[in-house]
Formats: sequence, C-alpha cells, structure tokens
Amino acid sequence: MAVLMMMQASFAEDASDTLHIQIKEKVIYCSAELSVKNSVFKLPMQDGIAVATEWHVKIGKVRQYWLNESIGNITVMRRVEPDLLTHSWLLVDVSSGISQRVYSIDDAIVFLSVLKHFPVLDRSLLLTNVPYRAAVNVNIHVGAINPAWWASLWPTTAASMRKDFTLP
Amino acid sequence: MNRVNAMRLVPLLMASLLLTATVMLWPSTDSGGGLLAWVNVSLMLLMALLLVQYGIRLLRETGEPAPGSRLRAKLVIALVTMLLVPAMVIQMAASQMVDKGMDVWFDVRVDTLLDRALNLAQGFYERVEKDMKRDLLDYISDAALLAAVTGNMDYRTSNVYLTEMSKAEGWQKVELFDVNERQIGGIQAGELTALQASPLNSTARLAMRLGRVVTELVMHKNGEVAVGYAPLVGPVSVLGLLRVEVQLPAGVIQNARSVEEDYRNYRQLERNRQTIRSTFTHVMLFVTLVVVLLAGVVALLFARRLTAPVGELAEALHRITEGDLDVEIAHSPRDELGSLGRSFNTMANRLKQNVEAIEQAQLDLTSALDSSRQRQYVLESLLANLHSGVVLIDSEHRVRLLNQAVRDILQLPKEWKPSADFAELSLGNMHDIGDFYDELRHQEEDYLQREFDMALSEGRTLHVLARGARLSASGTAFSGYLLVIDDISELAEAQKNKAWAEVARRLAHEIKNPLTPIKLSAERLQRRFRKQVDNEQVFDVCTKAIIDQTERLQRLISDFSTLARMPQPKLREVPVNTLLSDMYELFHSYRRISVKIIEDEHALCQCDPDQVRQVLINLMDNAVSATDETCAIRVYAVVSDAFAEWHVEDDGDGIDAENATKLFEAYYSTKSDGSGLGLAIAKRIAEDHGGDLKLLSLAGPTHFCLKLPRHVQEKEAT
Repeated sequence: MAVLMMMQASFAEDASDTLHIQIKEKVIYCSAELSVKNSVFKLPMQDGIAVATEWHVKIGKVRQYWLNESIGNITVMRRVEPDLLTHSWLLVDVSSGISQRVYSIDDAIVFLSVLKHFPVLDRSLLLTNVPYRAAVNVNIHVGAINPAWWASLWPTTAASMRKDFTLP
Repeated sequence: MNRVNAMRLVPLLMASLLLTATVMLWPSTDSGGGLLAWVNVSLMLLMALLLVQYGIRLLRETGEPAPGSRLRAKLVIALVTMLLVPAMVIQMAASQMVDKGMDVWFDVRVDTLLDRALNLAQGFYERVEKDMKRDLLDYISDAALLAAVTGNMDYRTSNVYLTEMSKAEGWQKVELFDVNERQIGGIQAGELTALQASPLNSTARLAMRLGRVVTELVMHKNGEVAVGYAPLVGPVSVLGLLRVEVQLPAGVIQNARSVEEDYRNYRQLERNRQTIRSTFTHVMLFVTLVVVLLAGVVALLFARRLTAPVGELAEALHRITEGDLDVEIAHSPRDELGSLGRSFNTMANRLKQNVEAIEQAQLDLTSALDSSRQRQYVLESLLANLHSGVVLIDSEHRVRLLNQAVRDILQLPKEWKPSADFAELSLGNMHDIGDFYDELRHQEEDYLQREFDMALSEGRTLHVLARGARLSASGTAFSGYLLVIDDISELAEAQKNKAWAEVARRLAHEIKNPLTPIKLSAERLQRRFRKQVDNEQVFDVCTKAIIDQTERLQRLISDFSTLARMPQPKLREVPVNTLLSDMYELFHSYRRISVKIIEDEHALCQCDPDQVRQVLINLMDNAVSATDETCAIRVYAVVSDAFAEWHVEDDGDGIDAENATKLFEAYYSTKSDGSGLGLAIAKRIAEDHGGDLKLLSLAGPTHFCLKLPRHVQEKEAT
C-alpha cells in the first residue's frame, strides 16, 4: 500500500495542472487546464480512437478537524470522436449532448484538456470569510468507455487539482 | 542445521518467493490490469501473510509439534505444489501463446494492409470532395446564378436552371442562397419534402466569408452526403452561395466506414496490446491463485481428515511412550486407518497386560530380593559383629566368604579375599590353618575342633581355637566348609593365671602356715642353744640359713598370695608427676637414676596409685639390680590425650631375646632369689587398668613402658 501511495504521489508531482476559481457576482466559475503530454490525446485520436475527459468538480467547506463539508459536485464529460475518412473530429459534450465537428486536432485537444470559465456553483450557497476548497479530479478515457459498474472503481488515469478560496 | 530445522524454513522461503513475485507484479499506472491486478496482489499478499504466520509459528515451536501437524503441512504443501506446478506451466505456456498470438495479430503486414485500406477509403472521400470542388468552381461566377441571387431571375427560371445543373453534374440536391442566407431556389431529385429550407451552417458561412469552395461530409439518416459550398462571387463581392449535395454510394461508404472501424479497432487493440497481455496474465494469475487457494483449503480439509487419525495415533503412541497404557483411539470405520487403529488398540491392550504381568513379577522379585538382601544383610551384620573369625570355603577350595574378625585375629594379608584359592593362601605362618582344613576335609566326621598355637608376624604368638564343619549340598544348595577361628590367647592366659593363682593359693595355704613356726623355732634354737653347741659358727650358719630360706619362702608365698588374690584397682585421679616424685624419693640415693618430671604439672591419670607405684618400683628394682653402678637409669613420663606412659630405661647389658618372650610369665625369673612373679603381677596390674606393660627394646637401652588410659570408663572401672 505504501508503494501505491508513493506511485500516486509521484504522478501528482509530475503534473503541473492549473486550476483557477473566478468569483463573479452571482456565480462561481472554474477554469482548469490539464498539462498532460500531447501523446496522451493526440496519438490515440490520430489513430481514430475516441478520447474522453471526465471532470469532477467538487466544492467543499474546509473543516480543520473533520472531513470537509461538501457544498456541490459537478461532473463534466467531454469526448472527441475522430473521423479518419474526413480528417475531422467530432467534439461532444456528453453532459449537454451538444456536439461540434472540427477539422483541427489542436481544437480537439483543447476541447479535452481545458475547462474554461465553467460555472460550478451559485454564489449564494457560500458564505463570506469562510475557507472553501475547490477540487477537480480528471479521468481520461482512451477508447470506448466500459459501461460496467466496476469500471469506475479503478480509474486508469487521473489528475487532481485543488484550490482554496474565500469569498471576499 | 538439521533437516527438521531446514523444513521449518520452507513456509518462510515460500512466503519470501511469493512476496518477491508480488513486488515484481505490483501494478503500475501504465501496466494495465486494473482492478484485477490489485486483486491478484491482495491474494498473493494474503497467501504470503498466511505462510509467514505459519512459518513464524513453526520457528517459535520449542517442543514437539501437535501430532499429525507436520504430516498435514507436508500433505498440504505437496498437494498445492502438485497443483501449482502444472498451473504455472500452463500459465507460462498460455502467456507464450498470447505473446505469439499478439505478434501474429499485430503483424507489420496487417498494419500496412489496414493503412492502405484506410488510404483507399480516404482517397475515395478526397476524390469525391475534389470532384465536387472542381465542379463547383465552374459555377462561382456563373451569370445565371448571379442573376438569380441578385433577383434578376424569377424563381421558376432559376429552378429550371438548377435542375439542368443538377442533371449535368449529377448532384442530388442544389440550393441557392443570397448573401443574406435566404434560399432563392432549390431542387432535389426524388423527394419534394426535402426541399424544406435548412439554415446554413458554419461551414457554409465560412465559405461565403472566405470566398472559397468548401466541402464537407454530413451524415444523414439515409446515408452519408457530400455537401459542397460555392460562393457566388460578383464583380465586387460575394453575392450568394450555392450548396449542392451528392449522395455517396451506400456500398462504398459502408465499406469505407468498415475499413475505418477496423482500422480504429486495430489501432485501439494495438495501443492496448500491453494492457491486453497484462490483463490476460492477471486473469490467468487470478485463476491460478484462486485455484491454489481453493486447492490449499481443500488440501487442508483433506489433510486434516486424513491426518486426524494419524495424529490421534501419534498422540496415543506418545502417551504410551510416556507410560500411559490406558490409551484407546477411536475407530475409523472401514478403512485402513481404522484397521490400524484397531490393531493399535489390540497392541496397547496386550502391552498393558504384559506390563502389568511384568510389574507383578517385578514386585515379586523385588520382594524376594528384599528378603534375600535382608537375610544377606543380617548375615553380613552377624558376621561383621562376630568376634569369631569365619571363613567359608566352597567345594573347589576357594574362599567364598570371610569376615573382618578373621582378618583381625589372624592378621591376614590382602591376598585373603573371596574367590582366592585357600590352599595357596594357607602357606607360611598360616599353615596351621591349612593343616586344620586338610584334616577337616579328609576326616569322615562333619565337625572338627582343634586348639593350636600360631606364630604370627613380628614374633607374636596366638592361641587359636579352630572349629570346622562340612556343609552338604542337600540342604543349602551349597557344599563346602565353614571354619570358625577364635583367638583364645587371653582366655588361655586367664586360665593359666587362674591355675597359677590356684596353685599359689594352695601353696600359700599349705606352706605359709608351717613356715612361721619353722622360722620361730630356728630363731629360738639360735637363741637358746647357741652357747651349747660345739661349733657356734656352723650353728649360726645353719640357723641363719633356715631363717633366711624360711623368710624367702614367706616372701615367695606372699607373692603367690598377691598374684592369687590380686585386688581390683581403686581408681582415682592421680597426678602423673606424683608417681614420678615418689620414684625420686625412693631412689634418690642412687646417683645414676634420673627422674624427669613432665612440664604439665596438672596432667592426671585415673588409676590406682598404689598398684601403679608397685609396678614402677618393680621396674626400677629390676633396672637397679640388673645394672652396675656405671649404668644410668632414666625414668620419665609421656602424656597424651588418651594415655599416660611411664618409661623406665637403663643402659645395662639388656635382655636376651629368648628370655624376653617369657619375661612376663609367672614364675620365670633370671634372678637367683626372684620369685618370677614381679613382672607377671606388674603386667596383671597394667591389664587390670585397661593398659599394657611392654618391653619396647631389649638393649641399648633396655626400655619398659607402662601405658595406662588416662580416663577409664566407669563400666570398665567397675
């Protein structure tokens, strides 16, 4: 088990992912960006393999001597389906069902690796001068997603980001 | 390290191997296997922990393990190994097959083939788009179309024109939009319902904005359609957009999509090649582990069932070894172990009966032995405490038994011991005993008794009473001879003394009475008739001789009387020096006599001072009379814790060896006027005191020693 923890720690240290919280008048937004290697997305897509990123955004109130109190959880799943015949990539937001076809692989990679200005929470749910923590966990699925229940028990690839913030 | 201790390390060794394999198979983030890999690792850790626990328990066992546990462990290990080895072989073979299969599946030729197939499919699409773009380029500046989009051509005319275009180019659908994205006209082959105007998408707007011909492929429910967008460029700017659609041939499209799907699947498999292998390995490993675990459990249950009777048998054997014979093991029904158990019970029962019989016999033997030992002890005690010497000789003339008394009496040398030949022993000064034994053997009577003198070492003479008996084999199961030797020297001496005392008493009685009138008569004769005789001188000599001899006879009778009626010594504490002082006072007129007083003035001796003084006077008289004036006489005493000794030495001519042996006998004297009773009486006094009077040296100096115990016990004294 100790070896497992060391491996996870080393994986976390390699990543330099960024997470920003934007506090607007009524809504709390989050912007996150994965700094994974290009090969993680690009090579599979060039081979016509669908790639998806699953973003789990969690906002919790920081508690010193107990587990953080969960305020809200949002899951966003984005998938890119390559079309090798037409050299196009279909960008699909699985949560909303909206799709778009692009003809640049870089656009597809940005679609997968960047969550920009994403609304996560109504500001009215938060209190001022109370520490909160935004945590984003990202699972990367290469290929078809296993619909079985146990597939989610052991995510293959993950990135984690945390950001503490306080309402002004 | 012996084999048993080495066997104890087997579980730990297996655990270490398992842990090593666990570390080697520890799942990494990119190795694949997922949850199954962790399940396998968990199973292996579990098995390693079980083995470690069992190994530690084995190592901590100090005493004997539970009966059957080793056999059970060996059975489990054997069964698991029997299963594990083929499972590992199968897994290795399967892994090799998978590797080979992978190499075949992902062969370079397949890869190239799929690339080419995909290129063909892509070429078809590119060809369709290229043809569409080339055809559309012909209509970018078409005057009729420009007129239509600028409103200079009516709807019917423009549709007719579009229909002609559609037929000429083979387009299934042609639509015409103005710069404001309003549909000016449109035709579609076959279905009128499809003429519903659909808004322009971003691609169409891009084509108008950039002024370039753009194509795209759109999936419709009827199939895939190649859509082309051609901007209608006027003299100054883009005035409209021509959108055309060509239904792609379903068969070709289906094949192309199949190629794409196959390519995608192939690439995905290729990407997951390591994962597939790892997954396969982990599946096989999982199956192996589960099988091994199940086999272990089944083997454990089987071994427990099999070894339980063996363990019970071993426990029973252990209890029998410890001496508990009340052991009975439960019968296992109708199998070999059951038969073994029944046989064991029969054996244990017989063993118990035999042991009980042996114990009973042992008790009887012990009792008999005790009795025999008791008898032997009584006999040995009896012999040891006997003052008579006893020698038992077997029929082969070998000494079987002799007690300490016979050793003391005869002063036997060390060669006299059991199993020694009696004939060889009874040589030299023991020949008298040998002669007695020979006489006993050769006579017809069974009993023989003899008295004889024996000359022992150091000139000591012993008067022995020997009694012998022939032991017959009929009564005692032993045939031989029993010799009983008694030292009757003292008894003979006592009898001798008693005889002398009796003689002395009778002599005194018969002679003493007439002596006094004889002496008185002689004196009277001398007084009354001396003047009347002729020769006075002769008369005086004769009367004097009568008187002197009468007096001598009186003294002799007195000594005999003293010897006969020796009084018991009246013991009291007397200083040793007092007796020496008495000697000094009596003999101080003799210059040659020196008396040495001892330093311890308070040294006492329990004795009759009159009798001791008599002894010392006797010794001093003898020394004075036996030496001339030039010879010195020394008197001194030596005191130890137990004894007081008075020594009288003189430097005279000494005593002959022949006389020395008879010196203490009664009526033996070397002096012409001696009675020969002085030293006999002195020795008698010494012996009555529990001491002794000895002649220590015959000459140079002549040395007598009177040795008396300082503390005579009351009983002896009385």
